[in-house]
Amino acid sequence: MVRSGGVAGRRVRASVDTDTDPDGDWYAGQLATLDLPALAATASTEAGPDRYQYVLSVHADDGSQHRLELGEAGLPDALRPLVTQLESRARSH
Amino acid sequence: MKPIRPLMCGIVPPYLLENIARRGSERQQAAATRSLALDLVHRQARTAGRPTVTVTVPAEDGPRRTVATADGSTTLPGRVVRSEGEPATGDAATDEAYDGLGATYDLYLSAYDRHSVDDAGLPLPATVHYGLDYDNAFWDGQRMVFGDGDGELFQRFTIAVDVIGHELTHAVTEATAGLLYQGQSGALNESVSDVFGSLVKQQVLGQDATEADWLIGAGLFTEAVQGVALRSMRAPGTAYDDDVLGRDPQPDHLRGYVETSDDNGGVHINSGIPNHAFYLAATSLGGSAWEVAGRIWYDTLVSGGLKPDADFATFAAATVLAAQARFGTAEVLAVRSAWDAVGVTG
Repeated sequence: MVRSGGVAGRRVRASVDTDTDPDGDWYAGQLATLDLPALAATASTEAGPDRYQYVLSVHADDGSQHRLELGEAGLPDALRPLVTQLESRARSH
Repeated sequence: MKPIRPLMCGIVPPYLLENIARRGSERQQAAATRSLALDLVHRQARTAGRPTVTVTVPAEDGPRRTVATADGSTTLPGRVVRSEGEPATGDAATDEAYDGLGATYDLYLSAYDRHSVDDAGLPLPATVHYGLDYDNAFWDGQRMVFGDGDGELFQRFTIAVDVIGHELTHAVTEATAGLLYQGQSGALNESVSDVFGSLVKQQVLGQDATEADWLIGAGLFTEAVQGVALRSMRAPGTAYDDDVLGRDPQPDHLRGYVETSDDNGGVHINSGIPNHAFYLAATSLGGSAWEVAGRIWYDTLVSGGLKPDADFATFAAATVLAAQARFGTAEVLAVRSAWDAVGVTG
């Protein structure tokens, strides 16, 4: 995940390898519940002043990739837990 | 409350005022009601042979603030905890938001005769304690929203009055020039918010252009951070240099313009260029920065001549025109030189 924008205008990134990461299972579990193509298709990049902008990239073992560009204002509830954890990860690394 | 001198002779008959008081817009109603009250006092005084009196009525001009708390959730608007006129609650975020909204309202009213962000007395709602460890604040189109920070890098976002002014100014820009939040127009939008946010802080602190620190968000960082503020208008690119945060990426000249797809085209990055131009103009002109430089920037915003997709050059040219319209050669020169110094030819 790459997060940009916000009043501080910072660029923040976090990356998780679900195979090797201690919390990998949780992240894998989250991804399994998400219909990434559908979320990508309906993603809103709506940009409100000082809201965050997210780019979520998922690379699967079979080579498939998904890229979601999302504005904070239109962040789907289904993605919130994943994004929140990634943001927390970004702060501590 | 402010004392108002009553009219010597009511030219508008009471029945007309009564209609306005019943059916007019809120502002018209207030004005009509006040006029009726004054009228009555005056008639009574005249009848009794007494000289006209000065009547104190509630000032029509004042913020109408409501602060709510999201209690750590991301649900808006949240639970109201302080309404206009109520005393301090003891919760720092609540009371800082309340005071900062008031200070922003006061700057726009006292310096530019602007009545709230829409110049029509729009109420000012804010929500504090938004999210958990939320390192941000924003204007959502209807209200200001403040996070508490994570406590490791950032403190609560209400701690900096210029951040509050910054957010509310987004509403002013929306209501006026409507600068699109991307690319150069977005960087201008951001810069305008930094400019007036800084002016709010300077007015609160009673500082002139030479005394101001020209920092945005000073006090937001925890002590663990190697940095003084989110941004510096005086020296873009120097506000912080930290292991975790990285280095302040702002350019101070057009040659440093950052092309990126991040951050809506780097609106928080490239705002450094117009920010620095304002700083240069304001310090060159001296005095209280909101009086001349701020006035020129304000006039530019509300002139109606700026398109939402205005770029730096267009904005610069508009500020020169605004300086010409209201001031004189010295002001025009100061503004032109400022833009030249950052590489923008308007």
